[in-house]
Amino acid sequence: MSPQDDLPELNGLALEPDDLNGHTVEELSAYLDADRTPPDPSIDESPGCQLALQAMQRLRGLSAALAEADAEAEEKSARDEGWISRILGAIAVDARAGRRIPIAHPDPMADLGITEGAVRGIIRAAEDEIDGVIIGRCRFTGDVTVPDEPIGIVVDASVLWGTSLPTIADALRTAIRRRLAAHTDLNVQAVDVTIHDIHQLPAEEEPS
Amino acid sequence: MTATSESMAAALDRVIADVPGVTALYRTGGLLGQAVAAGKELLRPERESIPYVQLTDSGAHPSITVTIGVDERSATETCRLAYDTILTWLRANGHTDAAVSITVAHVTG
Amino acid sequence: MAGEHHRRPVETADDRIVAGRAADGDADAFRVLILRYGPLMRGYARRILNSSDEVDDVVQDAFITAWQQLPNLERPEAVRSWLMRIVAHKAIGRLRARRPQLDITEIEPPAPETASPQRITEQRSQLEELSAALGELPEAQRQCWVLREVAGYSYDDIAGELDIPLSTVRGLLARARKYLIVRMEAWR
Repeated sequence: MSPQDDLPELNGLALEPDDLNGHTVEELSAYLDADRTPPDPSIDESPGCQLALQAMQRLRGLSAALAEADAEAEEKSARDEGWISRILGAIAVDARAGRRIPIAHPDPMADLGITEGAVRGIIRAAEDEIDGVIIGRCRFTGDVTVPDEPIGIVVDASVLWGTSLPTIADALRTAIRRRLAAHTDLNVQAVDVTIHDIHQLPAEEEPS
Repeated sequence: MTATSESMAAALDRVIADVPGVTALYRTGGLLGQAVAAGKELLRPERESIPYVQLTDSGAHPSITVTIGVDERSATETCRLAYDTILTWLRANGHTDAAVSITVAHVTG
Repeated sequence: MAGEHHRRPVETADDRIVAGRAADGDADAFRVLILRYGPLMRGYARRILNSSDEVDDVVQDAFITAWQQLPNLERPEAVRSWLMRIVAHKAIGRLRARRPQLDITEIEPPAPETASPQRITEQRSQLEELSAALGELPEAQRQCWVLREVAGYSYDDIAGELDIPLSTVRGLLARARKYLIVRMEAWR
């Protein structure tokens, strides 16, 4: 970003319709916002308009730089642990409990269950077993609140650059199935893994 | 809650906390900040010692509701074990026909 | 690295993964979102509010709403602009609570201080100059401008957010731009 480039001196920049080939700043703004389409020769061929547009463009570049600078200036406050824990501390945990998935017991009086949120946590933890996987959103198909109902699991995943996708997906499916069998009574019919992102290791963790 | 039901609920808190595999007890309306820090520490007595277990009718037919966190071994097994343990304790203390509801809200690991 | 398990920190994942996890109730992932977009949201809130008094509160409030609404977010990969919208909405709500009526009357801002040689000798950076110029804008103009240029709102979205007619948005934006351009060009 070097706004101080070699544009002509614009101190005398005039922005009245007389100076802008009959156009208003409003029209020029809209033209700029529309990426100068459709092309309007009465703007494109007017030196006054071009000067104004260049100034607007420069302002726009500066605005983007300002937003970045603003964010940079906030880095420290945004990383303040006190502020972050105030946010986390104000968040209701049951907001994500979701549906209650029944757990069977021989005693018909027993009312046992596990929350959908907890089961999602179990699924996410499968990533710990497979190097190079991060699990994202996870969804259930079928009614998990009905015992023995056939259920499908759909998970989003990101894998490490350079790993074999089919191998990873297989390992992930197996790990998820095994964990769900250990922790729930769900009748899991299918586990679908969608790998949509390939991530890099953070530089400092690169194996030497 | 009456004093009796409160002490019964507090006793049940301890019974459930001692079940192998149970790592935490939660209150409805708990906050994420606490859940993040969850672990045995939620089981420590708090300043306001409101029991985690919700108890209605502390007589012969009590109704008990509790939300727990469990460890890696098996959520279903730990949950069933917690149920059996609660029922054994209730019978030993003269409460029959209890309605016990347990929900696993978090699995560690 | 015998037996050493290499944990993939969720910080390295893209927004779709991180926001998807947060939507599913993963507090650690939500924390990553706070670290990733907190600074941007704070800077943005500060611009809209034109003060630092309530930045902490407004952004905190925005994140709490975000946590509640995340499961309804259709495209988790678009979480950044979604968060910006929430914080814009909160900040504008806060301004409205201060002053219930957004003043959109045709009052012109005071004429920009043209080419004050003193300013030039002060050699303030252009960003500082723009920052100061924004602070001088009448509130309605500043809000429109920040929504448009920082958050990338469409004219329609600005009209909806500020609850003013589209034609008014156009006018306010044009006046804000005119003022800023003259101010910034004068400084060049």
